[in-house]
Amino acid sequence: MAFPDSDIISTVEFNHTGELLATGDKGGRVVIFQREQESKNQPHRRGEYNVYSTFQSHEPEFDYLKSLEIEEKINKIRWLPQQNAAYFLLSTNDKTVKLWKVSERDKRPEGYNLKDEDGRLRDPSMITMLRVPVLRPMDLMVEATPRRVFANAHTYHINSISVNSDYETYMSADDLRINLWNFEITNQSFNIVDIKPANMEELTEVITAAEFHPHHCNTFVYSSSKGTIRLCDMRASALCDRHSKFFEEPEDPSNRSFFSEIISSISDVKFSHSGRYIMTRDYLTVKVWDLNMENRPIETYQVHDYLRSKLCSLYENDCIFDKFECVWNGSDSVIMTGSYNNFFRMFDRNTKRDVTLEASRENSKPRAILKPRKVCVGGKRRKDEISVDSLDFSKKILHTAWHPSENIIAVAATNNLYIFQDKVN
Amino acid sequence: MGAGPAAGGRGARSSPSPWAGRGVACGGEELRWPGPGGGGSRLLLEGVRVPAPLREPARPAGEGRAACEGAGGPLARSSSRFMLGRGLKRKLSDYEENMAGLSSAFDSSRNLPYPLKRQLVLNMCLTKLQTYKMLVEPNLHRSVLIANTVRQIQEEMRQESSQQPINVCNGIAPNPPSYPGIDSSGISLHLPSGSSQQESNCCNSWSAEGPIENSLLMVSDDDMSSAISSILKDLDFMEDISPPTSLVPAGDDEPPKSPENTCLKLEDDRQDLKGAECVFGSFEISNSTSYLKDLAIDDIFEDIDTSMYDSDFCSPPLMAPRPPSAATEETLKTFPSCNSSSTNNIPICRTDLSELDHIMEILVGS
Repeated sequence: MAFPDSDIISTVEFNHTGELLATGDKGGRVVIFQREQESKNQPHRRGEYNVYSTFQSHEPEFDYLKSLEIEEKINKIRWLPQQNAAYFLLSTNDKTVKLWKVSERDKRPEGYNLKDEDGRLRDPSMITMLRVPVLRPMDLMVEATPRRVFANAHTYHINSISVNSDYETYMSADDLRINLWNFEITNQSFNIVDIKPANMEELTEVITAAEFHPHHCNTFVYSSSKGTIRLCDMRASALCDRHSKFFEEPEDPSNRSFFSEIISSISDVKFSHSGRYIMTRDYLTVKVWDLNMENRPIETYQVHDYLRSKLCSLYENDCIFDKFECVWNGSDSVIMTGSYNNFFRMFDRNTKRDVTLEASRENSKPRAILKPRKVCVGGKRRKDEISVDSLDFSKKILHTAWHPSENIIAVAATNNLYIFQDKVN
Repeated sequence: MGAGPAAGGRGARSSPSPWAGRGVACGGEELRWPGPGGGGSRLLLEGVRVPAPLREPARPAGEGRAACEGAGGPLARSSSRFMLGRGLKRKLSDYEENMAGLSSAFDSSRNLPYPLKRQLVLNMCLTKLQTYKMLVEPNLHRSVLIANTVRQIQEEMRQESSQQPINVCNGIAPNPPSYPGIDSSGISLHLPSGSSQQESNCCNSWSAEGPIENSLLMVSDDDMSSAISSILKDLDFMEDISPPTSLVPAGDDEPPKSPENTCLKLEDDRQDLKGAECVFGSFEISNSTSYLKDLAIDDIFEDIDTSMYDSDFCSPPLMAPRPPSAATEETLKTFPSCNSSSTNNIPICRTDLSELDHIMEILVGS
């Protein structure tokens, strides 16, 4: 099934109430879905998501100085909490962050004196009476306008943005540096982390993801390609090159391979909603860390351990570099992450049960219940199981999102977006 | 050369020239400003950094144009001067099949000897790095990961060899003025320590270099060995022209080292290359940080033996003009000879030859 590359979804994010769901794609577009109001007449339609707004956030650019094309692909979207009738979100590509305002217009003024309804100017001599224009309802129009453009602050590719809990600042992280911005100031940013060595040949580690603490506006974490997480306190010093906490799990010697380092690279880091835990995703596992314990994670979940014996092939076809994201549910009791073959996995931290589900058209009739899937590792394959060698590695679920309070998830499978909800009894 | 410095002419590298590659500006004629309209994206493709022609390719003519894997799009207009990437287009699918075959062999086979596995991985790493090097904008994250893997393997090899008292020549071509991509010994370039075709010749040629335990440690040609460092340096140079707007004082704005320190290489081409960097280094923009510093031999990488990998990286480990079957046979023949001199650390000599044969066939593409 052919589709343009530009349709590939590159990020998914619910807003803070869950009313809106934003997706960004490789073509630089943002599509926002809004949840329908639940109506008493149709209790079965429990608030479906419909397209609310579509706009082109980033365009491809050409950096003339370096002769480089800057991709328009949206790497991340982050919502700001709603403070008035309009919605605000940050979207970023490799180099530039933009603040977008999404607002509705459902009324328009009618009855101008100097223009007629078509907008043509009237002849003043023909006007015999004056009237006050009135607002009349119109078809809802949602418009998105760029309010700020934060550019030229990143030499390397931006991989993360995170809004601070003070709602006045946010950070953007690239491979080697993290910058702190004030929303009001676009021509300056403050560099808070810089891991670039004096001699690039000494570079052995890059920043892979970063996030602010959900409640403490001075605290943030960033993950590295070596599987470590550093927690930094901005009160300690202006340049947070020295971490306050350093999270690293000692390597398991029995699992050592040539690819150990590559698969330890963390692709995503997320604070729990409570702020007590962080979750990290590396190639084969998801780990939950307690902020108070740095020497090892408190929980480790195997996402697709059957791939451990296929690492060389996955290295050869570059799949080993795929960056999967991970998400918490609203109560921090379940975590979710994607895998290959359009599979995604959920782990219940309390019951220790996990499930593998598939996001595909065939399996997803509206209101059909998702059937758990299973990958069989060799030996006899039971019916309905799929063998490791039959997995489609081009169908990868890298981006998922979980509604902040309800059991509604959004799963991006290449160019398709799936939204699943809890079944209502 | 007519270097046009000031505009920081290292921006676009559109024409393949002896000076192209490694961040060197080609002088005034370089097109820093792409043409209007649709010229932009086109220029991007043309502006690919092509590695300097570090050696004269001794390839059979009909190799065809190259399309470098992974570069995306009609990338390489590599001229016939550039060894790397030549012959790719024709062999690309073969290469992919071979690599896929190799990696699944790696994954599935329990019998594959560890050094061979390690060598396969090293091959793949260096191939990837070389491919990235040809991209306009290599992925820093991946490059770092792969470079670390290479370092790790190299460290392991070095430790292993340092435990061997015997000087094991590994059939790596001696350090000749022409790159050993296609060298006289031709074969056994894929196999690591332990296989020596003409041991005595080899050792003789190495003897001048001094008593090094394992010729793997020697850099006969460090073109690939500096691929890693060059990629990282290039990334630095490529990307960090505009440091962040609010600066923590970097403290590393040192003037580039004097050119003389850096021009140490043997081959003329390499000297040219380094010389070009030296020349370019003097045009470094003063407020930028640290790129193109320290072009002397990188200590970390000097012991990576890359003579195996000089020539065609993107195609199956290169083939000398001699027919593959002869190569295979000769390789097999060498094992008994190296058996006697090798220690237990080189189990490859004792492996199942049929399995090795199979691997060789894949490598050799016969």
